[in-house]
Amino acid sequence: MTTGLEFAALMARASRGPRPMPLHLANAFGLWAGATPAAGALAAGALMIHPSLEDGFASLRAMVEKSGGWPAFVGAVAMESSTRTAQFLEGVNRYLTHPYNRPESEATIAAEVGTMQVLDYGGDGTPVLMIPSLINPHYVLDLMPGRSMAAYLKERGFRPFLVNWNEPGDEEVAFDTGTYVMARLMPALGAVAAVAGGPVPVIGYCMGGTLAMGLAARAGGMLSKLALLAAPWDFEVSRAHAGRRMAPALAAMVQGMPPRAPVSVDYLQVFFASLDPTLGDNKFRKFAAMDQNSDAARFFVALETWANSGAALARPVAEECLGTWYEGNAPGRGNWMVADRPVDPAEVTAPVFVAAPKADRLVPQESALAVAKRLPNVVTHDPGAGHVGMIVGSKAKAGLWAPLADWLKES
Amino acid sequence: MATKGDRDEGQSGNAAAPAMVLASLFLDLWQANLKAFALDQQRDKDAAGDPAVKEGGK
Repeated sequence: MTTGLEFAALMARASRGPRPMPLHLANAFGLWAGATPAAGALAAGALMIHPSLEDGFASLRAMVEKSGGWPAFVGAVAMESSTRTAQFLEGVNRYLTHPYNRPESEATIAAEVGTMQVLDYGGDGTPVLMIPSLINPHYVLDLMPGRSMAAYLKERGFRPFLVNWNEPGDEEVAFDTGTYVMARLMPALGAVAAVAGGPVPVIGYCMGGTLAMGLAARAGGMLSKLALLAAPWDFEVSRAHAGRRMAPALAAMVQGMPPRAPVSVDYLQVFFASLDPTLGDNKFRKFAAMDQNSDAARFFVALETWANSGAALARPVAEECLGTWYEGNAPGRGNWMVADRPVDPAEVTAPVFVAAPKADRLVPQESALAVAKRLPNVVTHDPGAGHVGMIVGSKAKAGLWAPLADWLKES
Repeated sequence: MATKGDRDEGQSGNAAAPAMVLASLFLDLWQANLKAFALDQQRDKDAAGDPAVKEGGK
């Protein structure tokens, strides 16, 4: 059981996440504090039950009535919900105090423009530029040994160059997405193309894929191939993007911030936490029960730390994503402006690989596939895992890394 | 040989165990219930409350 003093110390270490910590604590406490009154409501036939769970609750009611009766049941629910609250806190505590820290990458800095760095993984393979999302750190593409797409591509004969966006500096705080493409990604591509002595393939993940599409449309002969991994494109598809419901509220919050203030990752974490308010409890109670010295526990810490970190977003980028993209569907409608012109995928004649998982809960498959309809030279692929699992999960190598490397090697 | 006290304790334990098992089952259902409503709320909004979705016509 976590004591009050231990809990205070735990809060002091809370920068590792889960962020924002008060929201995750409130979600878990609210979940279990509400359970005992809910058990009473079930006894009184007054609990609001989701249609998909009516049979389960009906069976439970029958079992309670056959066993010790409702008072004993409600008492047991009170005890068990306290236990679960303690397990959740124990999971958070174990996460915050876990000794695992991601080892520093062996990559060197090949180029710097503003605060952006291009990391070079070395070797004598074919240079390839990798572009992560502006949300969450770049290193999801090089998470840890055995879970690194960059390391795998190097093994397969490539020389990965990975964009590390870093915190926006004096210049970047005023950037919109189009400026990021032209003033940061274009020089990055130029630097990698100079190493290669010619056009190079580009891989973009999530929002980094959307930006890569803009880059490809403006890169001329510097880009040889383009791989888009779960990159959102059409924001008006029938299954809405995760967190779309929150977009107007978040946009209003952002508008209330001081001018030029970047948008903290905590704002974005509210967005993700809203998708399933029960997920944090589930994750951390499972983590509490794990062997803390196992590979699974280290992977949990690595991934959770990644998910809870990230540079702040430049204010115009946040406003553009929440408004022009989520609400206005600028990319899908052909209105996304890069270098004063709308981005038209039809202009990209290089071969394109579109990975769009059906199991993606953040970017609907239909959204990521929409861009393929406008591309003249495209193959599509379902990696068979979720949005993050396809990059670092146990199926990532077979489901995505290997098919992608095979495609990159095709002439 | 079991004594009467053992039997009483055993009976008491048997009576308590199902309540805890049922409580655990209830808490799993309660958590699933909240999640299902949260996901529904998002879908409802997506389908009915979002003008961009309607206007998109897709």
